[in-house]
Formats: sequence, C-alpha cells, structure tokens
Amino acid sequence: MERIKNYINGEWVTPETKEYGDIYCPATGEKIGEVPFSTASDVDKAVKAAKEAYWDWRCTPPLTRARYFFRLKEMFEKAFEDIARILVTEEGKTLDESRGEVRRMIENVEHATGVTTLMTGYNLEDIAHGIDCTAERQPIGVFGVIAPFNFPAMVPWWFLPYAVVCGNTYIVKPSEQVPLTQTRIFEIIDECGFPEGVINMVHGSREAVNAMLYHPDIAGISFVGQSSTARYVYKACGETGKRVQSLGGAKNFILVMPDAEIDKAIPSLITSFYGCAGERCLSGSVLVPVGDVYDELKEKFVAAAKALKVGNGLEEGVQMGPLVSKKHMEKVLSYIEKGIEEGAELILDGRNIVVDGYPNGFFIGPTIFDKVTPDMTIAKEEIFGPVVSIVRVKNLDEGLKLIENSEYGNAACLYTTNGKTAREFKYRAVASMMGINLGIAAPMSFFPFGGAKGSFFGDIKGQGREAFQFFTDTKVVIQRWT
Amino acid sequence: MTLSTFGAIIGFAAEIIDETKRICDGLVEKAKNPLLKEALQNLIKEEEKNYALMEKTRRENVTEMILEPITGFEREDYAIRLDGLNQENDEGLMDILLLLIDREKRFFQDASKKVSLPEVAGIFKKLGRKKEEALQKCKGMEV
Repeated sequence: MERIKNYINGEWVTPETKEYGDIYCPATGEKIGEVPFSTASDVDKAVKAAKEAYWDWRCTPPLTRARYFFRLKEMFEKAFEDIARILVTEEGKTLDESRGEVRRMIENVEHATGVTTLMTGYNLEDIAHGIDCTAERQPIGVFGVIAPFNFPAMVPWWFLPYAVVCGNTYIVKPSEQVPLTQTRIFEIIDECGFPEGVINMVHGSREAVNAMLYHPDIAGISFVGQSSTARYVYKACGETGKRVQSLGGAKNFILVMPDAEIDKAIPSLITSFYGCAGERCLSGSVLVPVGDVYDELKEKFVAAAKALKVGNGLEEGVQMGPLVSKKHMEKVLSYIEKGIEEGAELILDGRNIVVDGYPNGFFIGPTIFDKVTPDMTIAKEEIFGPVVSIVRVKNLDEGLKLIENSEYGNAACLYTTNGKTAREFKYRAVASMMGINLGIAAPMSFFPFGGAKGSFFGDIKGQGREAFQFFTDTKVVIQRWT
Repeated sequence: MTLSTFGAIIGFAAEIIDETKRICDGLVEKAKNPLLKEALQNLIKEEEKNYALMEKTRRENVTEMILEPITGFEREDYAIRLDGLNQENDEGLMDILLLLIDREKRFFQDASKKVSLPEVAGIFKKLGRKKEEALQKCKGMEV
C-alpha cells in the first residue's frame, strides 16, 4: 500500500508523524493508499524551506518566473489524462468532469503567465511640485493553501500560480481525503525544475492546518471548504495578522421563470444539480419554479434525473459518480431522512441505488424532494450531494427573497427569455456568482471566484486580476529630485 | 451503448479513427492498384493526425461548466462488419475502404449535431466534409 510523502525543498520527504489516514476509491470502496497526518514540525520544515527560497525567487525577473509556468503548462498537457484518471480514482467524479477540472487548473497557469502585464503598478508625475509617485506591486513572502476534497486538482491552482509567479513562495496542503492528485502534480513540478523551496507540499489534517494558520512566517492563507471551517480560518488569520481569502459553503437557488425554454434548460439544470454528484459549491441545490412553470418543469426534470447513468466515473459514458467517502455518503443520507421527517415529499429516491459491479461504492442516486418549504433543513443547509429540493414561488420577488434569506450567497441562477427579468435578477440577487440560462456560474481563471455572506470570508477573491492584488503589497514611492 | 457524454463521443471518435488506421495498415500491402495503395496510405497518415486532433480536442475543449448529458446517440449505429468481404483483391479492398470512410463520415456528421460546443461541432463538421470528399474520390477511382 502506497504511503505518500511530503514535498519540501525540492525533495520527497517522509514526515516525522507516525499517524496516517486511509485513502479510498469511492467507486469500489477499497483502500488505495495512506496519507501522513503531518505534525506542526513537518509544517515548520516546509515554511523554513519556503522562507529560505523567498529572496532569490523574489529577485528573479517576473518573465523568468513566468517561463517556469510556460514549461509547467506543457508538462501538464502531456500528463493531462493521467492526472484526470488519478483524480477520478480518489474523488469519484466522472472522467469528463475530471478532465474539465484539470483544464481549469491549467487555465490558471495560463492566466498567471500574464504576470508582466497583470502585476504592474501605476505612477503619476508631479503629485506635488517636482514630486513623482509610483505604486509598485511587490511580493510578500510565504503563502499557503488549505484545499478541499471536491476539486483536488483545480482549487490549489486558483492560488498557487499567481502567488508564485508574483515572487512569493508556497505551501500546498491538499485534502487528506484526496491527496494523490496533487502528489502526481508535484511529481511534474519536481520534474519542471523550480528552484528548491519555491513550491512545497505538506499532507495532513487538523494539526497541519493549525500549524499553517498560526505559523508566524506564513504571510497569507487561501482556504476553500465548508463555512464553519472557513470562518475559523478567517478568525485565526485575523489573530495572526495574515492575509486571508476563505471560501466557504453554499446553498444555491436556481429559479426557472414561466417564459424559460424548458427543453433547452433541462440538460443544463441536470448538470447543475447532479454534476460532480452535487459535491461542488456552485451546484444547484434548490430548484425554484416560478409561477405556472411548476408542472412541466417538475415532470421533465424528474424524467431527466431518472435517466442519468450512475457508476464508476472511470467508465466513459457514466454521467454521475459516487460521493467521496462513506462518511460523506452517510451525511447526505441523513439529510434525506431529515427531509422525509420534516414533511417534504420524496419523489425520486436515490438511497438504494444498485450500481452493477460496485457493491461497496459510495453511491447515492439522483434524489428529488417536492413540496419543500423554506424553513425545512434541506432548504437551508448545504447538503453537498445529489439531492434537489423543489420550492415553489409565485413570482420573481418571492424567489429573490429566498436567496436573500439564505445564510449563504455563493451562486444563484435564473432561466428566462426575458432580458428585463434577467437584469432585475442579477441586479438584486444577493450572491456573488450569477448564471443566466446556465446552471453552473463558474468564473474562469481570468475572473474572480468567491461568494458573499456566509460563503466567503475575506476581501479579495481567488483568480482573476484580484489574485495579483492578494499576492502582492502595493508599495507607494514618493520621490523628489528637483 | 449510448454515447451520453462529451468524453464518450470523443473517445468513440478516437476509437473508430484508430480502428480505420489499423485496418488500413493491414491492407496497404495487399493493394495492387497504385491509386488504391496511395489512397490507403493517405488515409493512414490522415488518421494519425485525426487521432491526435481528438486527443487535443478532449483535452482543450472540455468545458466543465456545460457538461450536459447527451441523448439519442448510439455507438451500435456505427458498427461495421468486415467478415465476408474479400481482402485478397482490389475490388474487395475498395469495398472495405469505402465502408470505413462512410462510417466515419456518418459519425462525424452526426456528432457535429450532438455536441453543443461550437468549436468541437466545427471540428466534427470539417472532418465529416473531408470524409465525404474522400468518399467521392474513392468512388470515382477505377480499380
């Protein structure tokens, strides 16, 4: 059984810890490896290496730094299929979803290579008589990411390439549930030849996370995960004076207007609610038929959900894979029980799905509750599984109220053929990522990613131009030579 | 089996391209007519490029945001049977060649309508057009 290692200072290192966790294949339920739960001392070694590497890297010209990423992109392209398959094996999503994720990872590398334009500052002569002023972006030091299980390839790369191309050094802490994907990615980083200590990886769980949060030599943290932890990370970084962008959970409402093109919307809605088995912060969670669209929408949506092919994501043609772990599957099942208890009508039950050849996989089939009311637990809490709640509303205002009352504000989507309605929706809805006639409002690498309310703690979001802001300090230089 | 995802369609395209190449590899030395031999050789070269194109398309055009389920596209509709066809004379080889090119033409043309991404639909459309041209050229060939 493979025991994976940390990557520190350009070398694969066996951590000091004696504690290891199990890694599972969600489709088969089999153990496929062991991950170290690194200690604070292991984290400290990575921070020391990153700190040691910082000054030389910071003084390396940005274009030279970018060249490492040009090379890395080409290496990622060559290893594309390999990374995608490892990802499916440990996370469970389908091959297409995995390929899409790896693509998005690479897109962040591509965007980051624009550093020579995107990192520039600005200046103004004669801010006072004979005095000139420049605002220059400078790297800051050691940054790190604490990543979630649901996008093991992509999420660390919402941050890493920008931090490093700006001249910072970096530490990745992958999710202990899915550490194999980043391990493969770090083999490529190793081959790419970055200077020692510039990019490091420490595996682990709670102790490693706390060690990163409270380490005095880490300047900033990016976190993605559930909201309770996001809040904790935000507070800890506040206490220790770190920069922080902490992305939390979601409860996304998808409104369908009576004028929507239902047949066109259905495939997109299905992707929204059941893509990645609902384990993504942009997934639709509550389907909101507005007015008299309810009957037609419900009938067609249920039929399409029933037709989804559930199975091992490695098999081409499978449209929905298993959940990441037995524990998570049980959590999602408990939400289904809760929905029944609270009086929602279970109109599609995915609890006892049988997937041929995979009796021990962590599968839940597409599940739909009708007659859900806004006060029910399944309408309020993040389920992170293939469970849809249908909440009917009379009009757009009522739908917007649902979004406003949610503690989350990650994404919201609307299906309509009316431009005025669309504008009204995007103008008023309290969520940060909006989809009009699409169900996954996922910003690409050159736009910022992050939510509002309980879905985001911090000021500067991931990706986009904002990434260059988060990973640099703006130094203002005022000069008089006259 | 239904080709129900983007990856399944691209995967099947790569599969039939590879199959065409392998079959032609086995036939090229049997062809006596120089024009037929050349047609087989050209197809082998073209299929090498097409296979690489499919791999590139799968890698670069997969868009996580719009991976929508695909319906009504069956791989069985593109199954071909070569047993019973004579591989020992040029007429028989030409029949096989036409069958292979026609299968690809039909598949690429149908796939261009099933895939919602315009870039990918465009690639299939172009491949379908090229196969149609190849088909007409082969049909006009005297062996």
